[in-house]
Amino acid sequence: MIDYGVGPAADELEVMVFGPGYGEAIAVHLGANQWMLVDSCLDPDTKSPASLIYLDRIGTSPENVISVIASHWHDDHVRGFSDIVTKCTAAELSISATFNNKEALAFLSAFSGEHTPGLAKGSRELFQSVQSRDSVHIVHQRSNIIGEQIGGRRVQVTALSPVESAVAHSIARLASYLPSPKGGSPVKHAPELEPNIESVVVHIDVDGEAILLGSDLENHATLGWSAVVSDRWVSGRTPATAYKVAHHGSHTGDSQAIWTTLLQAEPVTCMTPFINGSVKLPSDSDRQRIRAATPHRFISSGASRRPNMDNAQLKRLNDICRNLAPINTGFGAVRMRKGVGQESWQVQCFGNAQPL
Amino acid sequence: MPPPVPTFLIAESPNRRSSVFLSEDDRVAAPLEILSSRNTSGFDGDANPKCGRPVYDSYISRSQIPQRRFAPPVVLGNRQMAEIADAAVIQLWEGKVLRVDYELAVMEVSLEAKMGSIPPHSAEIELQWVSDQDRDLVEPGAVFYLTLFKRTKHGSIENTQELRFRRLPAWTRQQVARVHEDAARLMTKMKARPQAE
Repeated sequence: MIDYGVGPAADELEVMVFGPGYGEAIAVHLGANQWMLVDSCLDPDTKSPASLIYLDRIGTSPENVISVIASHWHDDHVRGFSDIVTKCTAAELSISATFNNKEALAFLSAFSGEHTPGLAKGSRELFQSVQSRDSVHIVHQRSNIIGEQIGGRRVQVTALSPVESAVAHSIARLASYLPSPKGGSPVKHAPELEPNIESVVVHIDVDGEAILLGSDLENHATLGWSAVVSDRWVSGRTPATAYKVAHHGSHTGDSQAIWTTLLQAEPVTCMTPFINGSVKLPSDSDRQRIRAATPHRFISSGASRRPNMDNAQLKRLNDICRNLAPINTGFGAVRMRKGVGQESWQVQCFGNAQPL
Repeated sequence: MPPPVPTFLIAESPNRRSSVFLSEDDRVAAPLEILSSRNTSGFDGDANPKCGRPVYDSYISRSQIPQRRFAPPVVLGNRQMAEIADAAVIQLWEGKVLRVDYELAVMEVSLEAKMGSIPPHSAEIELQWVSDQDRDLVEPGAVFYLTLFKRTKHGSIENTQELRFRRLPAWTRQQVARVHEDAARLMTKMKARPQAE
């Protein structure tokens, strides 16, 4: 069990990034014990949402969460999200504007397991989250998620994505997977659509101190990062000093314009890995690219990929399987804190988190 | 709607492999009885370094079959029962296809152990392991069951594995109608955020 120590002081900004190897969750302290949670992954010990476990261990109630955001519906970002939505009763729920559409919501329902046997877990979590609330806020580029005084400071949380064309494109893709109204087509699983252009990128500005949460948004000239950064309103945001690197450090989620337009020089960065099958992010070349971009970079998990089972089981499985590797390579969290008047962020690594 | 009943093959008959049907939430009785009558002589696996006994003994203790109970087996003939009595399920894995590479004839999969506390793994499995009748089901997202078992055949222990894909039913008109009813209901909850200046 990870000992997270004490929570942030009332005037400290804090970003916690949790990741077990396949999954990501973020908790942000906006000041005065007011929190925002973005996405969800599970704590391996308790199988509960890592963000809620963290709040509990530092003595904070879920009632202090004022906003919860599902950046997108992929399984590795929403495990336990419906639990968060249920327990953070004072928080407003925000999701991508992609789901402000009947066909996209029909997709969520169709692949939620509500009417057919268990399908994609991600769509089920988001479906249940929306189902449990009386109202859900949809966000797209320029949406104002939070805009209020917290602890005597002006806090503005805005969405930099998705752009309008990406929303339209995503809806069309989701609709193409809906079953025919006449029935008869076989029940299949929801594919994770690529590239990821429907993700919500979050910009947090607290009295001129900015944080960028890159979600899983991927680069695309008219739908992804390039389109986002080229927007005049976006490029006018306060450059961030802390960055949750987009799409697990992958080159597909990177754009030079992010570093030159949305970030200050040598920002503090952290990311979560993505390990599933042959896909391992960040790759070695991704690591080199990020190391070249900033000297301050951290990752929530980086343990061994050796199979985590005894020899007898391994021997049996090796008859039929190859390249066996644990999906979760070790849970960890990176904490970035910055108090009023401090020039730099203080970074702490918990569990398997480490410098990149 | 309850989840489909996955099929785990644990014995063979000349014409068709006999099956024990295991429901999603009721999975203990049959395999425990099967396992308790297994013959461990001639075990060819690794020995447990702590006790010197075959390692697989430890896989099948009641305490290690977590929170799942097996449904009663289907009624089988005497001969089939005799075959099953010598079979021991060592591990059940629920797998999901992540990607398929048809050129290399390999599928990338995630594997979740249904017995014991082994954490989820990813792996590659060659398509040659997929039976012809299941080939059309191999695509990203498809769920399969990989059963590893041992049995005594002609006095010797034999390791066997079975890989079967879950075949889901077709959408019905009623299900599709409910999906769209859900969508219409959820749509009423959606509220736009104000635009930031």
